[in-house]
Amino acid sequence: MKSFNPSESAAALAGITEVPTLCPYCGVGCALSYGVDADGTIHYARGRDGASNAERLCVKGRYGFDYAAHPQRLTKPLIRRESAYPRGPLSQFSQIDSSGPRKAGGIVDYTEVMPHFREASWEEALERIAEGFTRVRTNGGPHAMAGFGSAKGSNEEAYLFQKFMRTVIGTNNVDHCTRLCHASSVYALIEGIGSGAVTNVVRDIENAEVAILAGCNPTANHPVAASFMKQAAAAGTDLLAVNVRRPGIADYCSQYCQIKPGSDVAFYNAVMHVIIAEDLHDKAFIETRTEGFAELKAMVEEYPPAVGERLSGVPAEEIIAFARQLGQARSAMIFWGMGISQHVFGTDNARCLIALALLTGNIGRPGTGLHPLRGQNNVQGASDAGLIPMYYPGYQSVADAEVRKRFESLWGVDLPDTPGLTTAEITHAALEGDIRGLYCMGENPFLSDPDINRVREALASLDFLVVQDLFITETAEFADVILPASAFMEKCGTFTNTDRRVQKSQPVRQPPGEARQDWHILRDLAQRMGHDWNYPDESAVFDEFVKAAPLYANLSHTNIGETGRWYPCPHPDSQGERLLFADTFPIGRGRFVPAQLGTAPDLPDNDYPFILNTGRQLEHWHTGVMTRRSRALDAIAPKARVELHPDDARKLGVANEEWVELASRRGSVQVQALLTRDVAPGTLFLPMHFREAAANLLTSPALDPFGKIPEFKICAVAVNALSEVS
Amino acid sequence: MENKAEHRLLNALEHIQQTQGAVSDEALKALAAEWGQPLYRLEGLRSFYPVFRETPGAPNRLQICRDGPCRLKGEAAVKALKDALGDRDDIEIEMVSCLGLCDCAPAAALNDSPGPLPDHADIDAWDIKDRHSISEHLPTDPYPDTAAHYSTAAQWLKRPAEEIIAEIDAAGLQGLGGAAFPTARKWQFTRAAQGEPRTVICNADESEPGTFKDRHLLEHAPHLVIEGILIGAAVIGARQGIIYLRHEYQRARAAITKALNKARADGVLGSDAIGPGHDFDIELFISPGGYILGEETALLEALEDRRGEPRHKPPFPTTAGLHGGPTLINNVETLAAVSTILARGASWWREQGIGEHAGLKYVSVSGDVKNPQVLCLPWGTTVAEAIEHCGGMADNRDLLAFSPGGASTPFLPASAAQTPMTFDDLRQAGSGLGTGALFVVGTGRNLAEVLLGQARFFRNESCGKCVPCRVGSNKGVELADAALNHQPNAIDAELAELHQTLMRTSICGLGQVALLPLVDGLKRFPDEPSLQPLRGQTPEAD
Amino acid sequence: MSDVSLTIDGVEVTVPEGTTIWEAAARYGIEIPVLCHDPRLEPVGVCRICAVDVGERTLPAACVRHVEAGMNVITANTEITAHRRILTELMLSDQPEQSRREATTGDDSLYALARELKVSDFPWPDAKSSSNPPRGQDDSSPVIAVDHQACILCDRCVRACDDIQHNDVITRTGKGHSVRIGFDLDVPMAESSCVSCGECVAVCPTGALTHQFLGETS
Repeated sequence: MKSFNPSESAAALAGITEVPTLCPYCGVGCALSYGVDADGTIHYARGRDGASNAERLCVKGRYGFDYAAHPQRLTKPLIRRESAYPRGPLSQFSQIDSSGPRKAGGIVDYTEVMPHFREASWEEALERIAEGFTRVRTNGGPHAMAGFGSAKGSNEEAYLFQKFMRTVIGTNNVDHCTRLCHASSVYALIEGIGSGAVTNVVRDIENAEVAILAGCNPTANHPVAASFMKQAAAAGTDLLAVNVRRPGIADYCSQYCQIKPGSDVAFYNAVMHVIIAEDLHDKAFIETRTEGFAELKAMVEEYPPAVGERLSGVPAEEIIAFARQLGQARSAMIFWGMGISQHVFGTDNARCLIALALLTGNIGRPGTGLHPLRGQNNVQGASDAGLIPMYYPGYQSVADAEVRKRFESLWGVDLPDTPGLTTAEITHAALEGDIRGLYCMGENPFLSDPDINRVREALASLDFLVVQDLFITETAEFADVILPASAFMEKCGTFTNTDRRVQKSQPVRQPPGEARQDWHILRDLAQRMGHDWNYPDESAVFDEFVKAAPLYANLSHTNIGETGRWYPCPHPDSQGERLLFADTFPIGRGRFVPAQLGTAPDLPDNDYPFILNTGRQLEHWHTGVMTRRSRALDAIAPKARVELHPDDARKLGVANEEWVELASRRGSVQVQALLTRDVAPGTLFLPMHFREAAANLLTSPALDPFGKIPEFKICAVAVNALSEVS
Repeated sequence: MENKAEHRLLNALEHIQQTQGAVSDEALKALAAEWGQPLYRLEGLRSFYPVFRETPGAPNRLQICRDGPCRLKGEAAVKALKDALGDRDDIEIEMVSCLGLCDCAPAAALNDSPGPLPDHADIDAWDIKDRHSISEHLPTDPYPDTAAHYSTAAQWLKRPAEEIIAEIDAAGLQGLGGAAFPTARKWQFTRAAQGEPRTVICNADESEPGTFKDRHLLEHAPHLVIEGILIGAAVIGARQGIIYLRHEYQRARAAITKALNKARADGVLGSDAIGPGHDFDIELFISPGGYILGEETALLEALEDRRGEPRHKPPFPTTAGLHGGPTLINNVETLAAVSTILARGASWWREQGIGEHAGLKYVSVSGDVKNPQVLCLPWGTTVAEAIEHCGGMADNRDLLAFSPGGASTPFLPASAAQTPMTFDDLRQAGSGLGTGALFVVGTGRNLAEVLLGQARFFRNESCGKCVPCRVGSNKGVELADAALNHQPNAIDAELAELHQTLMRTSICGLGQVALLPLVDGLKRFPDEPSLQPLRGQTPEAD
Repeated sequence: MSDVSLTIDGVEVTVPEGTTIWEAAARYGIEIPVLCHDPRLEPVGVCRICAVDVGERTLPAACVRHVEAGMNVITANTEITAHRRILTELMLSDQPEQSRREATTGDDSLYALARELKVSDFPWPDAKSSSNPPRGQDDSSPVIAVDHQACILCDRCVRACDDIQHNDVITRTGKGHSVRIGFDLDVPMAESSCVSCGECVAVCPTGALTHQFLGETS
């Protein structure tokens, strides 16, 4: 330009206000503002100086906000037409037991599904649901009902959902996707230190000399947390990664150990063997803060480095170097992800990491701690709020009569005395005929649960299914009633991130059409079913939750404010505790729980020679319901690809981007290949987000005996080139 | 010492360029994987340094200097050659910044082999027209033969460092790279500074149009420079010396390499070189190109494998230089003079000057003189005398103007020719001694084009780091170019204002002086017809 | 670390050693305009807008220059304002007529500075009358629009990418007046290792890096 005309600029954004709220995606819990106009259209996201993100965002938070305004949002309740019975899948995709290039893909095709539903009034839909739930309960008892809540909902919604299932329906059969992610970690943590949450926040990695990144891929799954890890590395923290598939952050690690699938216990036992053998363990800590060291020592004695090498594939000298680096560090944090937890021996894997921290005295000081990286934005809070079958809010056991009595008096109803079923158990029970009715609030088990073909059968076998969601999901195809719910950016509520920080969202737009706040739906259903639920607003729900769960004592919507607080929060003016267990554990002494290397249930043989690993990728979220409806995210990452080692590809005659068929003992998938050395020869990686290449058609439904988490990380598959497909 | 070089990315890139003829994307990807470096960092380096090319180009590359004396004397010849070679695809012509061969202007380099611009007919039988192939004994070289080399250092290293500094101080030596900072004080500061590593660097990145004296010294007396570095190392306690040489100086490179090898063989460098338990060696680092690397902190950035963009000062290299340690950086001529002064004594040095002036000065003379060359003159010699030493004016021209100290020093009119070539006298006359590069312009030349040419040089060589220099030098050149070559425009006030901003706000000297000769010339030559378009007037036809 | 006392615009200030002039001034409520600096980033002092007078031959950038005991700093006077205006004009002269940033996130710092300095006409040749080739746009990314013409090479995106997010993608490529920002080996953004975190857009002070994505689907 040759001259500057100030009056010409700036008018474009008049009327836009920035509303402080949170990112709806992962457990990092980034604080952000949405720039919103008067119509509730979000124009941009701007990072706020949140405790966990310091203005940083990732691609999903920055660009993935438009799903809420997608034209496919449900705007009216839908009731299944009589012609659509007997119940079954409606879209071509959901009917077939395999997927691939000529099969249906992308998001659910509304033109296929919508004709089988009719619009209904809220009055009719809620009445239909009340009748349906009552009928199931009358015919099969309260335990014939089950509910899946969501880790995407707020603490208030999670609290009300579990209260609905426990008080209105009368069953503890209530669970959510924590079962599919860190249930085993939580089990091991409660067993080992008496608390299922992280002991220290991600950003304290800046005080750690060493940080172990075990079975996690933070640059893809917790990108903003990863930025702090990389920042720490740049400032001198040694990052040590252990994984079966090279994570992006390995570029910033001082050591990366690629272990054989399922060999975590052997690797960490060997590391502990070396630490003890070389006298690098923290004897004072072990003496004053722990119990069971002798048993651990006896167990890891069986795992000298040579044995560790044979079992894990990591050379003995690398195991020794790893052990020394950790053992000699003055402070170390241990982060882990699904590579640890999503195994039938996920609890044992987590036990090893907890033992490693206890052994080296790395809990309770700055730069130390245990941090299972939580996946969903509110998976911590949903668990805290009791959205799990064995605990009331605040991890208070449903089997404890004292506790039950307290909750009966708080809620004013009699409560069932048996722990409920977990997610995958509910599927099994449905197939057995024991579960007849299901209420799904914001979960999509059809894609998220293992062995989809079984899930399909289970959903089809139900007598009554209600799905409450933003869109017609694959699960909703089976529903009797579909309720249009509210998206994150339409809600006020609190969300607890991976750091235990409780933060508040603000609505920036109205739910479309007749779509309603999820907690309003729950309240209205409860009232319709004879329960006097009268909460004036979300903060009143939160206050009741706090009353129920001492864990959240001293927190309220008012003092959480725009910046949030950590729990536990010792008094109302406190910012909350970043770092826990400086002096003692909730169970007194920490417990070493020795673990022996286990065997995965679905191992390769001549017919199924490869090991398939499943997981996430940066641009997408879980079953893709949100991210595949984000224009930006879909444009960046439009398709699934299976990662295949170039050496294997050569033997199979597969070039990059060529189609292959993956077949497991349960199903098959056709997908394009991505050749990369990130995966080890003989192993594959397939993201879980794409229904046209649905990873869970292949996975095994076997469960960890403690956490009841499925084995998502190891299943035997055969790979065949599909050269005729172009 | 050799290992250090191998640990430098720039050396690795240089090796790729040498062996593969280009630094391709594939080569960088392989290097990134091998070194664990992000790609962007390698791209930043490759794109900054002119030596690195993305693609090999034609089998032969003829680089022709576009600056100062070469532009003045070569425009017609260059055009003729370009026309004649127009249809040959085995040779590509690249117009480049000063090659440091101003004595044979217009200068060129065919496949890195430097010499005067060839005729069309000569191009296939390229032969360096070598006027200096026989080693000269320089007037400041105290040694009768090679056997005596380094005897000064041997003698002085036995004495306290304070005495060395005192002797240099007594000689009145000032930095001869242009800044004129008292050498003794710089050595004193660096010696006093705390920290490691400690390094002596010889700045041999002589690249300013009209300046080629350092080349002369390095080709004919590299041992004096090496000895100066060695003495400097002893004074500041350095373990490493580096000669930072511009890549075009092929013959100097050979001479230095030979001298370094001999010094190592003779035990002058290496174990216990500066006393028992004090090893010292010198690395010859070949610059990957660019005038800005002569700026001492840009040079340090290059040695640390970054883009050669000058640092903010303070801190100065004397306290925080290479890798954060105290670093003594001196020009070639300064270090050689240290050897001479310590060999002959400060009083001998002082006696060499005229009158109250002390010492001898190497001056590069270029432009419209009969025999452009490097002269070794007593301090205090006038500009007119220097021109006479070169056989007087060429082509029957009279003296129109001269720039006495390199591209950054303003041009003075013929009436100032009696000015002695000293820092103080030339400053008082309105210009400066700078690097001691006398660029002589005769009558009949277009002075405006010469002045704009200087600005173009700085514009072209700006590193691009700061706004005033990167944008301001370019806008200044474009504004002046449009007025001179398209439409006269009264822009003298705007250029002066722009120059003030560049001078006051640029990070380094390049931006500070980029428009100085042009803006100063507009004031100093009010009647010069070629400058009238910049005042909005149409020049009278010749 | 010990404290240092100095004078900024006549105000006696005392700050810890190692504080920059910009930080010291901010601490005492004196705002020094700047484009290339962001408190989250290591300062680079390249836009020179924050040039201040400390009585030296040249005006150092307040964002990089550390305070010194007894320093007398003048953060604004006629001369400094004149330089700031010229620097602003120089940067504006290459800008497109309309700022994409003003139209997307409304926070174009260069335009805001020009307004504050009441910049109007200026003599510097604009991009159209320049003999330099236009610096071009890169629309390859679905989420980030790159307009090299609007880039002032403030280095914020480079530092945000490398030092905040540690994604290590952006560099300055080329030299002198033809410097641009580049991705990896200067490939289009979408072909680079960029993970689209948008931190570069967040820190960019001009229309050079803006959100490609304009609002929600409707």
